[in-house]
Amino acid sequence: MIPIGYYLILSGILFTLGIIAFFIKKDLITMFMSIEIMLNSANLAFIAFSRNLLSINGQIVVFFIITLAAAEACLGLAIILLIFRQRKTIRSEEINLMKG
Amino acid sequence: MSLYSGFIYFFGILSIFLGIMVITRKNAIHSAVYLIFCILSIAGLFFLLQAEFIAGIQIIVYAGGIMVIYVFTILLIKLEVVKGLKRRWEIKLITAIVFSALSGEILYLLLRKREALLPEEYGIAKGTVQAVGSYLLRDYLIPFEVVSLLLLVAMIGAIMLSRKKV
Repeated sequence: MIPIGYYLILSGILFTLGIIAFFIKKDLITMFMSIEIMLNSANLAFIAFSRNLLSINGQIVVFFIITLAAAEACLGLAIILLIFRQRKTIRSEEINLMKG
Repeated sequence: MSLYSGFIYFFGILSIFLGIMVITRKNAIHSAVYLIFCILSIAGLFFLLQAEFIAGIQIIVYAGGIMVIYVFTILLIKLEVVKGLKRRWEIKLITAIVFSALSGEILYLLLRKREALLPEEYGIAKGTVQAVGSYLLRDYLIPFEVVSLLLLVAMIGAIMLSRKKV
């Protein structure tokens, strides 16, 4: 049997990859994909704890997180399409309307 | 090493490899395809952790639903090939700090806190549709309804945002 620490290490590695991608990527779509990687790593930690504690509550939380990710992707990509239609760019450095 | 452990290591290493491929590709559609396979390998880990219902939801909703939205958005946007890894130095510094902190934490867990890595007895955690569904409709009924309301709000918001005249 694989102990739970290894799942947490895998989850931490995936979360680190997501954070690095969020910082170094320039287009908004890839930044959103890195958010999906981070959500998946959190899901993995929840499922591992659910298996370890013999409780099913972690799986319920993962169900809600997946629903939340669906709503987030739907709205976020609609906003990205709107930004692209108005500004003709999705590079995060060129979207500086709030900069004054 | 049993076959079970072999599959766990296989899917874990595969998901890390595919995650690295996601964040290093320059073309966004390649990243999306690698992300689909990364999500599928994580779904394999969910199967092996006896969360069968969640694994099916992961495949259907994530790989089948969310990633299709991503691919369609990438196809709708005329995407210039963005040169990655070329940021200002403050962002590089923040990235280096976050990366070293998180990987240092992982290494600390791996090297020092060995008692968190000790094997323990596993019972049977039932993750079948019956178990999850009964929990969902008995103990978590109100959050379930609230989540359905959230999906309705997201749908209305996406329709409002994607009209021609805003």
